[in-house]
Amino acid sequence: MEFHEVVTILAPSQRVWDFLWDIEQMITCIPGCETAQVVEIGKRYKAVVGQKVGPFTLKLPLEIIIKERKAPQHLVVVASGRDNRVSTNVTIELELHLTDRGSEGTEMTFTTRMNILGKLATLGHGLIQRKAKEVIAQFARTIKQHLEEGEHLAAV
Amino acid sequence: MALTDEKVKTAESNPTVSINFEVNGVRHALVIEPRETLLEVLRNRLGLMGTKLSCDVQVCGVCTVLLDGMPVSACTVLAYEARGREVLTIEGLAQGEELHPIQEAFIEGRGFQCGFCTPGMILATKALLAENPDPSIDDIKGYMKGNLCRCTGYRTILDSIQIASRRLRQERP
Amino acid sequence: MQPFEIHDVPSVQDASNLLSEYGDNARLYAGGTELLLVMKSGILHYDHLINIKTVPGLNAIQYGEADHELKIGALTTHRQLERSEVVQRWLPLLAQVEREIANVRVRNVGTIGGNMCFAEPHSDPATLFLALGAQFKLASATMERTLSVDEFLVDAYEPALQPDELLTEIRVPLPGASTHGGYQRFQFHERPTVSVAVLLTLDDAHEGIKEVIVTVGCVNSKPFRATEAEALLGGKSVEEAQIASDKAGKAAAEMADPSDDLNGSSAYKKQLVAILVQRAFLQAYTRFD
Repeated sequence: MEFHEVVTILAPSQRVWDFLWDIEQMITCIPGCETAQVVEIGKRYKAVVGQKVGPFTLKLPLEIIIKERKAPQHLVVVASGRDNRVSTNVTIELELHLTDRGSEGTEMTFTTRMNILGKLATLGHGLIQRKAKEVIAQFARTIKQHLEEGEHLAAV
Repeated sequence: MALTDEKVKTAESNPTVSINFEVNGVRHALVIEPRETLLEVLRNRLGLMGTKLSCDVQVCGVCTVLLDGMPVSACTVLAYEARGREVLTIEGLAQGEELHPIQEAFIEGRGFQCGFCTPGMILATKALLAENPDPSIDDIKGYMKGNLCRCTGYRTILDSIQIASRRLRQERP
Repeated sequence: MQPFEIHDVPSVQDASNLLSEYGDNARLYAGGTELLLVMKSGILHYDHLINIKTVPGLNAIQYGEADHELKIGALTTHRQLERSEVVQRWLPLLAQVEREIANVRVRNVGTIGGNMCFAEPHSDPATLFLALGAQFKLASATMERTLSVDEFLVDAYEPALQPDELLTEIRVPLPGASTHGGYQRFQFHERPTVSVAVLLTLDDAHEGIKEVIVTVGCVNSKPFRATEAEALLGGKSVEEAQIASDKAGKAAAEMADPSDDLNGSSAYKKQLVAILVQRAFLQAYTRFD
């Protein structure tokens, strides 16, 4: 499954880019993210993300690899993990693109490609798809919120 | 997912329940855990191996047993549901050395190869013919839809069921 | 499965009280044909199963003359519905739908109430109940209420039940003499891929369509009314509608939002919707003498 999300942030693209590498900040932006650590700075990370999907709960320890990186515009991240309790594997490829829109700020586009295998996939494919879309949308909104608040504070 | 004694091992603190039920005409009184399926109890506690485990999600039919004459998937019915009721497994059909007419029909009709689906097929046939002694081919196909066979291609099973139907009708006065 | 306790309850009130007492640790248990599958796979677990099969009076099928409706107890099994003389007399379409569910073993044990409350998206009866305007009666220890199908089915696996509530009865208004229904489904794995119900009401001459209801199930998180398709067929002459049925099918397909999975690709499922809408429409029409 593949879906797109676009958000425009009133902040310069370099600041948006730098924000993405701030682990402490990112933990607060990813919905359901419980922990996150750097394994190899700029290349590999670990995170644990928990989400409720209908009556089911999913708790994923994720291995995150930076596949492509072209500062300050382009980023491809692959996150994969397995929830053993529900025997379900999730792989997400997230492609982020930052475009400078001058006075309007930075346009951030997310292209998400997701693959789910296992028991929860059989049961709730559509459910998980919708949840994933919600999560990405919330992620985008939270990043925007944090950055714009930051800009506001910086301007004051 | 093999059924071993491990699976029915009872921990001291696990809830248990007493059930009395009849299997193939024999009364049993057991103390089981509510979570045990009828299939687990039949195979692991009563040693009746004729009822098989395959898909474990009630779609293949190899675990078919008759509960008060009704075909059910023993893999997804709790043993608790058999309390005070009668269960018929494949072992309960033959009378000593004498095979049940449906079993004979399956031999005559060559309705099996590896035999794994056969207990379920025979018991489902028994239930079908009790309800509808002279079923059409469509009736048979509709009823037997949930019993899968990987060997025969079903033709000989259909033949066997028709033979069984004739045999049972002849036997009735 | 992990260990659990079973509680046999003698009344709806007792069931409701236990639900309140155990909260998230308890679940109502009837046939178990859905519940036990998810518990066996480890996806869900409940320490307490509240066995409502011991509550008397919840598995009756009655014709309600006063309101010209069928009253179906929530604990009625699919097999009972399939073989009921009352259903075959008053609503044979329901018997037809019930006969298609899963296999005979599941139908012997699974209940119509359980099917509704588990709210699995791939449900045959839900599609038909939506078309018929069925009403769901809910009860708890303290109150009773009635919901429509759309109100009851909130989302996949999410019925509108309060934590202490039970579904006790489904009331199905019976279609009038000038209404006939068609039902089409497609399945090649364990769950139906697409299901469509069409209810057609014609004028006295059987030449004009007075009303048409089209519902599509299994492709969205719950069944939906294909209003775009209904708009293309309603009020037309039968001939015009037959010509428009192709477009109506496609309009219904556009309202569907299926995912790619083992039951088929999204595009394939949409195609099935379009075709089954046409077939169900024709089937309903051929049922007029």
